This record gives sequence, C-alpha cells and structure tokens, in this order.
Amino acid sequence: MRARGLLLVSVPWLLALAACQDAVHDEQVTNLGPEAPGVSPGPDHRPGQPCTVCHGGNGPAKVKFTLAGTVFMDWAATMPAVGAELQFEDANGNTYHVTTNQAGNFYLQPGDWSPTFPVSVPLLSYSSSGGSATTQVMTTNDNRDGSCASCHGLTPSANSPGPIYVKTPGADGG
Amino acid sequence: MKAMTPRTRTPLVLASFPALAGGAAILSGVCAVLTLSCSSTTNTRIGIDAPPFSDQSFGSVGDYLDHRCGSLDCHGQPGRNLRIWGCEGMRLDAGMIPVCNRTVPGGGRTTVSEHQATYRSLVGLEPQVMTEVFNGCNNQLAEAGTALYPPGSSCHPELLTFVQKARGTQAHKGGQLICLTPPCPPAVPNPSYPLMTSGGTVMADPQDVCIVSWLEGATNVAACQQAESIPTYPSDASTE
Repeated sequence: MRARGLLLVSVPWLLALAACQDAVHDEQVTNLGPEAPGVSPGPDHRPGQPCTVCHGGNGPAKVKFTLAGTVFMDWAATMPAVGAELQFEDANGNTYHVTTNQAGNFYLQPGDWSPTFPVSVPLLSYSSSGGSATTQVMTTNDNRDGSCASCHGLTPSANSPGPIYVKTPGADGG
Repeated sequence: MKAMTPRTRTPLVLASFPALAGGAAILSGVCAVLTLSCSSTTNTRIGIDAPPFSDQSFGSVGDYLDHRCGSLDCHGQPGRNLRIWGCEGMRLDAGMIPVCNRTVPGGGRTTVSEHQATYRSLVGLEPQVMTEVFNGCNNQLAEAGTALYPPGSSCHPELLTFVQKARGTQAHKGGQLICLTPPCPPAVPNPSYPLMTSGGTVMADPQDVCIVSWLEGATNVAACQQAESIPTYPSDASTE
C-alpha cells in the first residue's frame, strides 16, 4: 500500500520532468557541434552560427541575446568583417547601432535593446583600412527571430542565401 | 486539385471503474478503446474547385507572392501554413539557393515546379472557402464574358483568409500589404494600377487586381507584374 502511494506521488513528478524536455531545442543545440579548437566560449566564439539557439533564453547559455549575428568579408565566410556597423530599426521605429567585434560577431542583450519584431536592417556599413566605404540595406524584414543565421547560414542552400557579408565591387552572390 | 481528408482518431480515455474490480475488466476496456482508436474513415478524397494550374495563369501570381510574401523570414519557410517557393525565398530544389540571378551558382529564376508548389499550398489552405470563392468568381466571368474589377456581387475573394490578411482586415504579422482606397497606411503603396471603367480611368491596387483576376480565372498578368515591382522593404531597397 505504501509502495503504491509512493508510485502515485512519483509518477506525476516524472511526467512533469519529462514534459520540461524540449527535444527539438536539444537537437538544435547538438547540431551546432563542439567549440572550434582554440576558441573558448565568449564574444568571439561560433561565428556564423544561430546565436539564439543557445542564447535565446532556453539555454544552455546563461547570457540571453535579443539580436545577434556575424558579418563576414566574403560570401565564403572565410574572413570576419571587423568593425562593420549595423543599424537596426524595430516595428516601433526605434533604432539601435552596433559594431562587430574581431570575430565579426555582434550581440545585443535585453539590457541593450529589446526590439519589437519585425526588425529591419536599413544599414550595414563597412570602411576598409584604405578608406573605401560600402553600405548595404537588407531588402527584407526580420520577422523570424533574433539570430541572423536562422536565415543567413554559413553555406547557401535552398533555405539560406548564405552568410551576411560586406559587398565589395565585383563580389558575387546575392 | 484533390486533397486527402485527415484520418480521424478517437481519443484514448482512461477511466477507473471501482465496481469492476480486477485487471481483466480494465484490460478489456483498454483493448476496446485501442480497437476503436484504430478505426478510421475510409480514404475518401475531397475536391477543391480552384483556378486550374498552369504556368501561364499562375506564374505571374506566384512571382508576385514570392516577392512580397515569400522571404525566408515569412512565408518562405516550410513550417508555415501558406508556403511560398521561389527565387527570392525558399527553393524547392535542394541544389538551388535563394538567388534569382542564374549566373550565380545555384541561382536561377523561379521554376514551374516552384510555382506549382506555391499554388498547391495556396489553394489547399481553405478548400471549402476556395471552392465557394472560385465558383462565384468563375461564374461571374462566364456571365460577364470578361474579368471584372472590382468583382461583381457573386465573387467574394474577401472570404479567403489570405486575402483578408493581405488587405489588413484580419491580423497579419506582416501587416497590411494591399490598400484598396486611399488614404493608405505608411509603407503601403497607393493604388497605382490604371483600370479602364465606364466612368473613366481609376487607380486600383495591382496586387489586389492580380489576386482577384486569378480567382476569376483570367489572370491579369500586367497587374501581377506591376505588383511584383513593389519593393519588398524598405521603399528604396530596389535601388540597392
């Protein structure tokens, strides 16, 4: 009788615990793979990956991002665009500027800016050391989520136009 | 176009029967419920009356939808009810990328298969409503001998959810895209497609003319092409 009572109490807890597991999210995290050799978790890690898979509030990262991504110098995503400036505008008309770091990454935490989606990117500008500047506009809104890489995967595919990169004269791609 | 009806399932209900002591009774009850859950309706098919697919009739509609609605962050995603394929968004062929320029490896214009996939998604959204709307609009075409815009009393495209969302009469995450009569909200273009009427030339929204004419069975390709020229976002994006 005592064992039956214990069973009755424990089963709901086990069910509740199982309900907390998000298999889809777990798979997304697993699919990101391990850290690159020599790069520790931090502002420079995992360039080009969908940041908010881990930094979206569901873990495993503790720091939450509202918007994050990576800008590269080329379509093949071989070199980061260091110091590229991005301007965002949210659905309420609020704007925010951010500059990419040495890995080409940028990230905004809730304390920085919590935009109301959809978000547009009316300006991506980059000035080379030689002084030539390029400016670009993202032609569609971001209605999806805070990870640029949700659409801009590292490799162009049927569901991705490829990475965000600084368009220079003569560059190919889209 | 024919669509399969979903298989019905009887929910599994677990209940306790204090009066029926013994595992045999519970076991037999569970078995009975499981047996019921396996029963299904026969594999019947329902028909959808819709404008027949051809690339001539739907290609320009599909290109417009791809341009205005099919970006990867919106309806260019496999998880959406209305799924749109095309060169500005989701590609059907795994070897292609969302670039319309065919000189880019993997790029290329929207294919006939992509138009057809978009068509199937669109007409399958609300089979019964689509059937009702198309029959009304197509009858009007048969009676009038020509497509009418605005449509006559038997043609009601406004019954379709995708039309309501585009016109802004139903909540739409992407906002209002079509404006029938000025003043139009910011970022929504004013009606700019010239229509010849008995009272002279009036301006209509080319997007609406495109959709309604397709539903009538007489696609106004010129209107669809003009609709495709509306910038996606922002208004000066086309100058990039």
